[in-house]
Amino acid sequence: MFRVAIIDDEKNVRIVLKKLLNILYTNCEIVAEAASIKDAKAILPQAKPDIVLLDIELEDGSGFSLLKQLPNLDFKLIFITAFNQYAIKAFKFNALDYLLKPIDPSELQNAIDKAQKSVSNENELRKLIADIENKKNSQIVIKTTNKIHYINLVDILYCQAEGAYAKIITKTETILASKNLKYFQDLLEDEGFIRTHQSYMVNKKLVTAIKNDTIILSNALAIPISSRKMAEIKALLAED
Amino acid sequence: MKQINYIGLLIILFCFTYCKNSTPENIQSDEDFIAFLNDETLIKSIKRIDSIAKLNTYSNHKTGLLYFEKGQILGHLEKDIEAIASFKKALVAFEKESNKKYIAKTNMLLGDSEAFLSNNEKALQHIEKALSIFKDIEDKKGEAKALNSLGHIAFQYENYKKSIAYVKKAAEIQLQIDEKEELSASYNNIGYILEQSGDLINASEYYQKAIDLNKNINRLNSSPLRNLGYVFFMQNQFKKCDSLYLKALKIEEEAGRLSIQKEIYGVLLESAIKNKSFDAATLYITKRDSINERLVTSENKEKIKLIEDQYNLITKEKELIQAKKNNTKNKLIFTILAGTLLFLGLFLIQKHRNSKLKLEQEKLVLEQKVLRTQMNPHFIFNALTAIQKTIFDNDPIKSTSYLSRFAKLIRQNFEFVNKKEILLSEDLDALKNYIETQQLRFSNKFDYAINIHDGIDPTFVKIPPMLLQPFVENAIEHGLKPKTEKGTLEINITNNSNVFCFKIIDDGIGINNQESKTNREHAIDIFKKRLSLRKLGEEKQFSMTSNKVKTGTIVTFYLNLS
Repeated sequence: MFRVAIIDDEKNVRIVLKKLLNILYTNCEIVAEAASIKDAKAILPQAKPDIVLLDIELEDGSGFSLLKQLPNLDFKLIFITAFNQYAIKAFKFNALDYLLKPIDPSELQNAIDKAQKSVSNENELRKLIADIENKKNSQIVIKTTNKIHYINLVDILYCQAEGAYAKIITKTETILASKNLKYFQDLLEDEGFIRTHQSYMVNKKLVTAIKNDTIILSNALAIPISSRKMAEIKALLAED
Repeated sequence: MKQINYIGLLIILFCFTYCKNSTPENIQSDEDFIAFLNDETLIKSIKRIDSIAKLNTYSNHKTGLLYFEKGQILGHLEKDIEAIASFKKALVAFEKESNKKYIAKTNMLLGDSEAFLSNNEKALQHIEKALSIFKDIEDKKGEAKALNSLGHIAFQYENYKKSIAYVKKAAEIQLQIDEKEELSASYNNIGYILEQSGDLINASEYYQKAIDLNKNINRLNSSPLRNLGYVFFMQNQFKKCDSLYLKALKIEEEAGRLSIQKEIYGVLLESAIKNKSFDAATLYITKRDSINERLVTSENKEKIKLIEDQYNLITKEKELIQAKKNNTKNKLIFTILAGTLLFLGLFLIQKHRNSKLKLEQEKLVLEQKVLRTQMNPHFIFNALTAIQKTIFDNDPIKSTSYLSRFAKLIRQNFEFVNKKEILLSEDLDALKNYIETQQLRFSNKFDYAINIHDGIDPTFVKIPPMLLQPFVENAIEHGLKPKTEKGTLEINITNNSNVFCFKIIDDGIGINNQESKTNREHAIDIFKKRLSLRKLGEEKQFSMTSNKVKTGTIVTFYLNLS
């Protein structure tokens, strides 16, 4: 048996989640339901859930502020949101699982399965929440099959497409992530990364020169530039 | 635009015909053409002829006439070298035309000019040629003239015999064709040549002939009188001399030629002295001196007039230059002014266009914002979840109708947002859809009512779309949703002629107790902007107050609807 708590201000969402979980899992017990921070704070510590399904928008505040107010975070988290672009970006940055309304049964199942297998790390979670609240994206979390990588953005030299996957090349290591280059482009474009080529995206801060059709990075690596993008890239680099 | 084209066409047509009329090619007679060539003064005439020659191409005849006239004018100005050049051009043209009369005339004038320059050989050639042509075409007048000229040249060579022969021949012709004035002149000339050759008797005879002829035709010419008088003077026949000179004096006094009068008095004085008639001499001296004085005065007058004329000319020229300068100055000022105005105009147009564009853009942005507030994604996804929930109720008819209603709501939103105005009934229909979708979401947590005043026909009145919706959404999301008990939402629409009053009343938790205020303020901001674009001042009458009777909020606004 695993214990699930549902914190959402929409009654319909709570009903749908309960019904879906009952259909998908036979060993699932809904131990708590709340629509507000106030109610959730009161119920959660006694309910001791394994997994909390938490909406970002609650009646009396945000889901993040509830987490900050809880004494213990000894559960796995799955966020829920109807439409909160900022929160969604934060989830992606931190490789957190989240569900979008209306709930897709397979996404729910995926998220629950992953949560059951993972190990909760309270400290990490608290740091993440703090970062999200402060709107700081200094770090990106990349989960691979066997490891969670916490990578500082300043350490990333470039990203390279690898079929449906992407390689993240830092000063010390190369990580193969299970997301494509477009996924990282969406995330990192606002953080000073430039897509120079169909297969490459570089960290603008580490560019030292443009030579012929390549960008020279601080470690003397040459990254190709597609001729179509030459002018655009030169303009972008000239901005600083 | 078309009219302007017509006017332009007319002007062009007018100019064309006008220009055509003034084209010299159309001037038919030689006299008209020569009159056309001439200007106020000789110098101006030459300039005019030059510019005409430059701008037009003419027939040989007209070209000939042009240079013929120019040569004559140059001759008058004593610019004989240039005159000869012009006459030669005229001659070429007339020769091309084979116009014998003008070839002869031109040769005559060439001869005169050459003679003036003492090129007697050349002069002789031209005049002989002219003579042969005049003879050929039986132009007697011309022939006589040519003979006279030949006589003059022979006289220059001191070949008096030959000279007399020519002039006599001329006189013969003149007698034939009854040219009395010219004949008189010829007789006088013959007399003069004879006098120079020493044949005073024959000279006197011809002078007398001239005098008689002049008398006959009342020609006021004192020349033969004086000439004959002088012959008598030289022969010491003072009485005869005096009588002739006094006759001459009478003529000259009539004609007012002072210089000749002076000369006459000079001869009379000498004659009186030689005759020892001193009383007469004193009289002539006084007379001569008075004439001299008059002559000097008149000469001075003429000189002064000349100076005055020159002064006037210079001032006129100066004025002209000044006017030209002023003109350029004015032109410059005008150009600058016009330029400035044009620039200003363009600037204003651009500004207007920009402001218009800005307004358009503002409207577009506003439209988008309206759409976003109406189609609050949060509402959309939560509403979809509500529909999702009904699916678990195993009532497919109900679920499907909810879904359809939601689709209709979205469709209405997309449809209305671009419209300036829609029917009140359409707007209220969309609003009902919205409220009922919200009711589904909150499982009938509130009841609602829309009350329209009896006098209002919602299928006739038009309003800007979806003005009410943001306040209804506010009432539901922030007033009624957090409320624990069942609430009510009331929309009242009343009117006082064209002014419509809209009230959205809820009994929710009230504005002071609501969590987030930014969304609401944002919505109000957009609402007010939309009203301000209508420029009726309606945005100033908006109010949002707490319900004083029970909890909740009242939103009131007025619209001026025609």
